[in-house]
Amino acid sequence: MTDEELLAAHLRGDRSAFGQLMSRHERRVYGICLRMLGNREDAQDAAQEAFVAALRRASTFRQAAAFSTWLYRIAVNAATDQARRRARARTIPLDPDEQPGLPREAVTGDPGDAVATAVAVQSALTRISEDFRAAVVLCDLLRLPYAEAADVLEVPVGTLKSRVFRGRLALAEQLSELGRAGPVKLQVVRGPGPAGTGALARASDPVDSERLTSEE
Amino acid sequence: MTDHPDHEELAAWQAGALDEPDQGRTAAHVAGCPDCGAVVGALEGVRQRLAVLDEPELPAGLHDRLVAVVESEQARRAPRPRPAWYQRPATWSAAAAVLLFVAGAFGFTRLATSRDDSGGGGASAAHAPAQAEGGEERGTAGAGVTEGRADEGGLTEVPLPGEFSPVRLRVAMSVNTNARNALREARSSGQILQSGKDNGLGKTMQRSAAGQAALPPADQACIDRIASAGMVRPAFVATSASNGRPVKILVAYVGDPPREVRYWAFPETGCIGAPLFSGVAVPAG
Repeated sequence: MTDEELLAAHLRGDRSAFGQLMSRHERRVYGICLRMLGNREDAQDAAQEAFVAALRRASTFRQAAAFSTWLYRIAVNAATDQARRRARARTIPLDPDEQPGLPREAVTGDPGDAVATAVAVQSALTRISEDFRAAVVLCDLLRLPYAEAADVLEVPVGTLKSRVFRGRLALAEQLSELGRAGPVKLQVVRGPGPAGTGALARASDPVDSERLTSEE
Repeated sequence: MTDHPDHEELAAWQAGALDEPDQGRTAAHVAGCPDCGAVVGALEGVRQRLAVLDEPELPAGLHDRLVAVVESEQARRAPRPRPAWYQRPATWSAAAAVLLFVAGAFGFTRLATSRDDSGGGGASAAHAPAQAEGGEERGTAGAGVTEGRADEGGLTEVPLPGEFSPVRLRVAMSVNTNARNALREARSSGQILQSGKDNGLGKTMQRSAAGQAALPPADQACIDRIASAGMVRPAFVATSASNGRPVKILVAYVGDPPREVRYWAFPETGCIGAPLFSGVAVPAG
């Protein structure tokens, strides 16, 4: 049964159909949320929000698009909303000196160490602008075709390609900054940079704290 | 080199996303152009580093959590796809009447007192013209509500009279047997001063009162108090009397569309302090 057939079954009242759809897609939805947000707790909350939203909006799905395209769009939006909630929740303690609980240990960008690299790359990813990040996550991590990623984000293909490129460029800047400076403090607060890092860079934990801790 | 591909084109070429003539042409250009080669090299480095972020495993417990949330959402939605009772303003007028019966059950001896001399329709006329002369009507119809039937879980199910007969409200009683008996024997009805259907913060209430009198400050203060509590939306204010003393009954919706109604009774002097009584009503079936 295709995704679209399952959704149709769900809309006809088949109580098990949506669960099957969720089992098929939950890992990817969670993956989108994790890469967009940079930490597991927020990603799990966002994934939950995404599936609840998909359930509520199931009747609005139009067959013109693939179910996965529609669902990924909801996931990206759920992650964005979660980031905003986080940003609001952290409005007050944004001063780095007042955030002893957030991970700010130095990370060495040892290229031979895959875990350290993953931490650095995820950290860089959460620092680039939300639009660029979504494009890079869909195209370079999920490896969606440009046309499909453009459908997910509801932008023209040209815009999508531009975002992917500029996202990679912004990432290159972030990562070469890590490489040049050696151990770099993962600052939670960063002013708007050339890539438009602003509220969203602050909105997410820079790295997955569990992984970071394992590096000490 | 005068015809460098732009950066987007380079990125697309690198991803193998160009159509064939362009793909080959760009490859040839990059092979002979150090500048474009450097750009491609930097981008390639980023792509390689991104590759370390493979698709994460689902965290333990997340699948079960998602299943539980989705199942509860489905259960919540399935049995009541669209609350028809909410669509009918008359239902809410009836609900108010029922709530006033409840008020009677709690010791109100004189419920027909109204402070609005302009007629019983002042409240419900805003959205239910058929109710325009409903003040007395409701009183009469209300007298017919004698079939209240105690059922499970401390709920009393009250069939609404006359034209409202398809609608039933379950009124949760904080006092058990005595209150149920009193409800069965209730014979009085009050008059709704203002009512609103899906108002935000008393907007509709003020509109429904327009043309007659502005919302009395005391009523507005009551509405403000409900609104400030959050989670509920003020529906209407009813006046009544208890042992010859005027009281106000505030009614608010919970949920949008509403899942239930909550009500509080205060002395008419103002909505301060603890309510004389309060409760909750939900639509039955």
